[in-house]
Amino acid sequence: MTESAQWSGVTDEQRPTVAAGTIRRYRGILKQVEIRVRLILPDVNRANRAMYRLADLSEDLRILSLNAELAAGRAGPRGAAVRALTQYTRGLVRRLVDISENASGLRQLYGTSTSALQTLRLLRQLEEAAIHLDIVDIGGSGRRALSVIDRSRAIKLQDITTQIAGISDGTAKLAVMVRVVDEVVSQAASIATNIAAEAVMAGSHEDEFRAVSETMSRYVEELRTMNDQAARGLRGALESCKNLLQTANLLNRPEMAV
Amino acid sequence: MRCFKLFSAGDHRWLAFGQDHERPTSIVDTNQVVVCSGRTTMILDPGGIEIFPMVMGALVHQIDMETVQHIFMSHQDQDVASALSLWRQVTPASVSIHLPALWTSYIAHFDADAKFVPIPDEGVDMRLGSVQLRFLPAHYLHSSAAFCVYDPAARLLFSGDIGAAELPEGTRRDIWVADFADHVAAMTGFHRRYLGSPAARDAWVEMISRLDVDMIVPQHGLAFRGDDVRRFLDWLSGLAIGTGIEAYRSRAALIQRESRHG
Repeated sequence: MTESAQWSGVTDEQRPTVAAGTIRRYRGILKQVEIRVRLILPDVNRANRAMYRLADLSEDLRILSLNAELAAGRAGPRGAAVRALTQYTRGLVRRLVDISENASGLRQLYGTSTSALQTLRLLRQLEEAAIHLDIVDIGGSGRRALSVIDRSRAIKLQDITTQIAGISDGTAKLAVMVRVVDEVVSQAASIATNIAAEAVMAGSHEDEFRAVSETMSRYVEELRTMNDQAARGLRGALESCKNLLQTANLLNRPEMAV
Repeated sequence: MRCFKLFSAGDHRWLAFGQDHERPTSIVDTNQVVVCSGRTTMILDPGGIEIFPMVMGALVHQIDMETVQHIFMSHQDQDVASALSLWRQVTPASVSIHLPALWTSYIAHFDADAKFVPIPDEGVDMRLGSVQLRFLPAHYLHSSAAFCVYDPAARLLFSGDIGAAELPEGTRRDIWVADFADHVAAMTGFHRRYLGSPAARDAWVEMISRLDVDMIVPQHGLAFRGDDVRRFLDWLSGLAIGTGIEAYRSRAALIQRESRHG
């Protein structure tokens, strides 16, 4: 919420800056903006739900890599390759941890979208009030009130523009996040395959390495499923966001200036 | 939205706004009340977000919004407080929001940036222009923290939900009760169910009876004046309230029957 409107500088003679006709044109566009923001929410929610397990899976993978390193140590020279692979796995885990910390961005995006809906609601009521004041015969007090409402509308329009930019920015960041998880999934799958290959040549340590490989494959599969679900949600959100930005751009036309 | 003059003496005025034909029929009708003294105005129970445009449109005919230095909220309900953030947009930045201390963090859900003047449980007096207003407790009637506003100079009591009536659309001609006996039917259901504490009711009636009151103006329905003030207090004193308790009894009886058969 921005600051309350100030009355300083609003004179009796000051005419309202926005006519009811302009407000009505605005309302059509804002209605479209609202519909598009509403469309983004379920997709973001789906992605948010999908990413919920990311921190847990990162931790599982980290513990697995530690155990694998211990097993590699016990295997001596036969575990050298596995040791190298587990160190590489820890690098992947760090990337996942970074991402899971940024996963709060999903919640922020949800928050920005709901704030935008709230701003749109307030804007709608302010515009209704302006129309009420514009169609009735008002005196100086009414004209000044209308000017104050115009100022409040201008602030709210700035808010909604900022919020839409936030939604767009947040969605783009999420797309990056999904791409990084995708890379990690692909690399972790290769590591699991390589550890399985090393297990064949590990003699008495074969079972131990095979167990590591199988567990890692399971985690990778979970990560892949999670990321696919998040990606599906985000594809929808990105498309809605593109449409939202196109609609919101209409607000910046010169004839819409407040 | 109609405007009713409740009291006027020089620059000291009480006005009520309500009975709005443009109001969505799904929402309860409310009276938005305004008191002015000189260049200072207080809006009492400014109303919900759905009716903000109509209230604002009606208000500017009567008052200069620049003079609105105070907003009073008798309790925390949506029909009282949900337009708070909008009112703060159109009133001076210095506007004080008076509300029951118990509800500040709850009403903040409507507007987290609003600065509140919490009213302590026992109430408080405040000066508005040249008049003295008294915030009087009305706890548990219906809200667990609620206040009325009494103006000794106007002998007017804004009673919040006490005295509220649910009137059929199109039956209101005025803000004042015309026939108290007829009006009782419109008040009974509301008071029996929404007011929960006979002890609070008795204490409130006793407190109000000690004051000189010529008018009682509730947030819903019609206002009382003259002899109807006493009639209302007597009627309220004898009314069985807290009827929601009956729901416990009937549910408990049902549970008992089920356990016998089960």
